[in-house]
Amino acid sequence: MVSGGLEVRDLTAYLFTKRGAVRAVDGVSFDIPRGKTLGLVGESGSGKSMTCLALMQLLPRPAGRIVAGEVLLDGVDLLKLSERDMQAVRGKGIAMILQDPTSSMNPVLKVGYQVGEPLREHEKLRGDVLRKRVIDLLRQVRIGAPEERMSAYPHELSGGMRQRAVGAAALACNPRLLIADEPTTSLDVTVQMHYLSLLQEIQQREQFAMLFVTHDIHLVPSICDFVAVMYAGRIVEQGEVEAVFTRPAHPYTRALLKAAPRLDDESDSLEPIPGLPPSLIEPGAGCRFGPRCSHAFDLCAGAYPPETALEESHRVNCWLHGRPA
Amino acid sequence: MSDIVLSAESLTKTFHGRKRWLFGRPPVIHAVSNVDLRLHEGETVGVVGESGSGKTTLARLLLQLEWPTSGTVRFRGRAVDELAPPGVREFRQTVQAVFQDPYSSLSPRMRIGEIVAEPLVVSRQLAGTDVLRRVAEALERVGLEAGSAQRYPHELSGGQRQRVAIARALASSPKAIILDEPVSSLDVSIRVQILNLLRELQAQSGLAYLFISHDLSSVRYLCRRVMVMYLGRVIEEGPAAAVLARPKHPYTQLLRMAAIPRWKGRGDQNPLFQADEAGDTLNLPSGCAFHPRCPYSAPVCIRERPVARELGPGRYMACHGYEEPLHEADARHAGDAGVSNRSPLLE
Repeated sequence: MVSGGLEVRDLTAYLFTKRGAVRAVDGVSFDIPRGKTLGLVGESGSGKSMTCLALMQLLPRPAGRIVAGEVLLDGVDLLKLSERDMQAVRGKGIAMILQDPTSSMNPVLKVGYQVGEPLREHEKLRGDVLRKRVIDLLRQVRIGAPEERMSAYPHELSGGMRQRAVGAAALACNPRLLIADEPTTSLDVTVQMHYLSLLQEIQQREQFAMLFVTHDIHLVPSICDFVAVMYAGRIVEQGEVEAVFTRPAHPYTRALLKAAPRLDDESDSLEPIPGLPPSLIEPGAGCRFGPRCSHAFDLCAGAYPPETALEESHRVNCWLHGRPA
Repeated sequence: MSDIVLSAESLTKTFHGRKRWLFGRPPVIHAVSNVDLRLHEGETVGVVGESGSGKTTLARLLLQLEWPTSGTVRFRGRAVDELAPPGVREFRQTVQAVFQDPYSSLSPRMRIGEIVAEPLVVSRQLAGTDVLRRVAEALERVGLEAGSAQRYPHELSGGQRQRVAIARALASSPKAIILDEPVSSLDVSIRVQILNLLRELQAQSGLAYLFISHDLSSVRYLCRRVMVMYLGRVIEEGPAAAVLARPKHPYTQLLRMAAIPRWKGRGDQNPLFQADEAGDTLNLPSGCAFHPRCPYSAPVCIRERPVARELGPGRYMACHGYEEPLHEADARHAGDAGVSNRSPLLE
């Protein structure tokens, strides 16, 4: 992994609340090479979105703070940058697409203005040059009649088109990392399919690294090269998509794969995952999935399982695979 | 066959949009056009389609939250607009609803117990301790502990809130529940819990469900029959397993294809993949409303609206293309095991 991209090492971010420190992101490590996509999967509250915010250094203030770790983008540790330098990275080095295009756009500003904002801010473009670039960007995300759509307001576009406009703004300054946090959750399935193939097409051309966050594990194979499964603030299994999906090693990954109904699956009864995720305030020493796990045994409550390499790039944190000698 | 709880005949609803200029005519939005529907006791009928297909308007019409422009809703065989007040009250108790967003459908200022009790109190079905007993029963049936009656919605997770919404519907001992996207706002892993709960409740008390969803996998899991809607019309209908496994209408095929997980970079070559977003009900395309997105569209599709034809027992489809020789040839190639009669490319 020298060819650039994102390297995250032991990223740890807590939310300091009255009731104690919430360990939202607890020692998370992963790599995304240039031009590749990592899918970050987990239930609500598992720390996916907090990981994204920590990468952007946009944790809710004053409670959120990054406690430890390294975030290397093309070899530069972003956590060591000054706030001023980091501000130059946001929107230019790293861009972000959020779940709900309706709330991530300003309803009283025209679409063209909002798509051009990063160019105005980071590249100081103005006037005709800016206008041409914005039209280009809108065309890239397949928004028809970009000249007219530029002066439309967000509510005049359909949901899918709005999300594509958000995508255009995110891609405006050719970011090296694109963080897409549940970008298609609010879209229809057909629009979702369209949007994902568009994102991939642009990624192939621009070769940015992408972090794709979703709660729908079945969406991962169609867009990601790697997958990381997150549970209670930690990554419990990660690796190449094909390895993890065909040979899931962690009981939680297996449960997630089985818990969602699939159209091409004839099975008539699905098993939901019993129980609830643990509190992230002092979660205890053992495996965090232990209390819900049907395979749990004496080791699981005692200590957190170390990372075990199963095959090239496929790693899991589970005592079933890494028993102490 | 068991009794029909709720049915609809040629149900149509149009809305008037805003006038574009002072003396102009307000544009007409065809939200629901000519929908027929039958909901038997103890069965689950699914309604699928994209946003704007009229699913929610259909639900509101069936619940009498909206009056149809034409057509009739029947409750146990009687037209609902002819019901006398006691009949209306009975209807309101017998047909309940659960909506998509458990964050906005539960009042943040009421305790869970009050929320579940409200329909009982308003309809004067029960009073005093009977209400409390019924509330406790309903909460237990949806798998919430008795203590949660004292809590507020913000103290519960999304899945638990949706259980409260179901408990509220159950409290008046309904015969039918209209479920409008009940699992769409929930995590995929929570969805199965709610779907399994709905199944259990149905097995216990013979409830009928109208399950509205854009998620084909959930529909496949829960429903016996399914109706596929596109821009206000039902374009395909039949047994859920058959319709979703071997869709005949190109639109249903598109929905199926979009819902099936596939590996990155493989098998995206189907012509249906090129199809763009849905049209809108304001500028309804001529002929078959799907023709602008349909890779198989022919001149006849632009001219005439296809009528629904029966393909097999209880299986209907509205598409011109189905009988054309081209597709029969395709059908021979694809065989019955293929995803569709039209596009062997799919598999």
